Amino acid sequence: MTHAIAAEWMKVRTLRSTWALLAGGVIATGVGALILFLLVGSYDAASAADRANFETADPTVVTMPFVMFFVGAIGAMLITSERTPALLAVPQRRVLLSAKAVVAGLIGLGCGALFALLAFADARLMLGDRPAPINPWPQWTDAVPTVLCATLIMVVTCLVALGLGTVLRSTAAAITTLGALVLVCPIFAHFLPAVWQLRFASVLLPNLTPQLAGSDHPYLLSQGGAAAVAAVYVIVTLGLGALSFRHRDLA
Amino acid sequence: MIELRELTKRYGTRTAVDRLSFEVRPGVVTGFLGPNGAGKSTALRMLLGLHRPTSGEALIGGRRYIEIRHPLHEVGAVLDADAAHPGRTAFTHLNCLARTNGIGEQRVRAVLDQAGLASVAGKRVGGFSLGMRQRLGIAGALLGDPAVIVLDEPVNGLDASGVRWIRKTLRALAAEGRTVLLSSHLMTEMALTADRVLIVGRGRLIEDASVAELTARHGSTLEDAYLELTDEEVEYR
Repeated sequence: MTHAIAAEWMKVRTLRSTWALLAGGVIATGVGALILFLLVGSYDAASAADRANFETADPTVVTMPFVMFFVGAIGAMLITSERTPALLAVPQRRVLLSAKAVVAGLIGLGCGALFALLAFADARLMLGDRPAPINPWPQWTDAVPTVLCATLIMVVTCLVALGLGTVLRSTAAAITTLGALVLVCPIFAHFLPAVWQLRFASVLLPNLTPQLAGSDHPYLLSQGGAAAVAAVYVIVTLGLGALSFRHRDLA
Repeated sequence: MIELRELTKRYGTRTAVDRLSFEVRPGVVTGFLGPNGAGKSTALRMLLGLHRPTSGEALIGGRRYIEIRHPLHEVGAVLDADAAHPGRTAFTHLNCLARTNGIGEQRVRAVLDQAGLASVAGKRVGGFSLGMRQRLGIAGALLGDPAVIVLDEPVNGLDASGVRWIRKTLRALAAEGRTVLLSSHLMTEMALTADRVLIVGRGRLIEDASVAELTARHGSTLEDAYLELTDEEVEYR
């Protein structure tokens, strides 16, 4: 198992697409910082009454779904970029998929922490000592639960993407499904009737971060409920992936 | 040694491999012949644990392939010339494989040298010719210095020097006492490379004999013998 994990780590870091997807995450974070910059400018120009009604400028809400898409795609490609020699080198499918899951989790952990901290740094730099509601974290310690939970949801996203890639057996299909899950579904939620909008939005992956952190949010789940939904995502996708990987003919 | 016992694979109502049984012994190159669609590749994929048999079993050294913990040390296989990711260098491709089985970088460099690829070790596989990719596949098969070598159509599309290199390499491996199983439908090449042949048609074993026995019994060349034996067996499914 140790050899398989070491090999998976080497495989992922020697693919150019891994670095291209990470660059996508950096660009998304940069665009998020730009949006935040414009928002802060607009806030400073607004009247006191308007300032009181400003939306919270939490960069994790703006940028993290895009970062989840780019980093999650690395998780999907761990399995969809695989070819026959690797299956011959590690013929025990449970071992191979477990090694990939460990690496997907580590990528989610590292990238989740990195990008959540970058988003937090953006906010601290640009929001300064501006008060709530525009500043989601008047004290830096207020950001800790959000950064930790954004990291955890990134781990979940990478594992879900690996499960999707294992079930769908195609990079295009897995990445499209991942995009639908983290980017398109939240938009669709807005078109639902108010009651259903909240119910549906509450179980979407990007919206689990504020619910898990227990921060100020409009959604319906408790912290425990959000943790349970995150666990269901992983169990269902990776479980289906493991079942199909175990029973089907390969290559 | 490789053993197939009543190995069967059905896809719905179609039987791709039908109660196939044979043994492949060490020290000789064994050719695995048959028309297109005869079940050769399916049988090899079942032998290597990629496809699940409907019934029967395929064993290497008395064990199923998926039971071998570090298989590169026991079995080297090439099923597809395009098996390496085009974005990786030859060295990295082999190093990733080697790492799965605890094999060091020194051995990776040695097999690259053996395959004549040392000078292009740092180049991406996407820029390789078919011959270079076949050599890379065989270098991968040799990583763990295995006693059993299994190759599926390794000379398809190769130029004369590539074909000769594979022939010399396989004969040298067999002369070292290894078990070499080679599938092909190129008779002239098989006549030069193989000592024994297994001929299949419609998923069933038709013949298991040495090349000399076969040519003596059925015709002047291996191709004559093969065509006589498989005349009724060509079936596109």
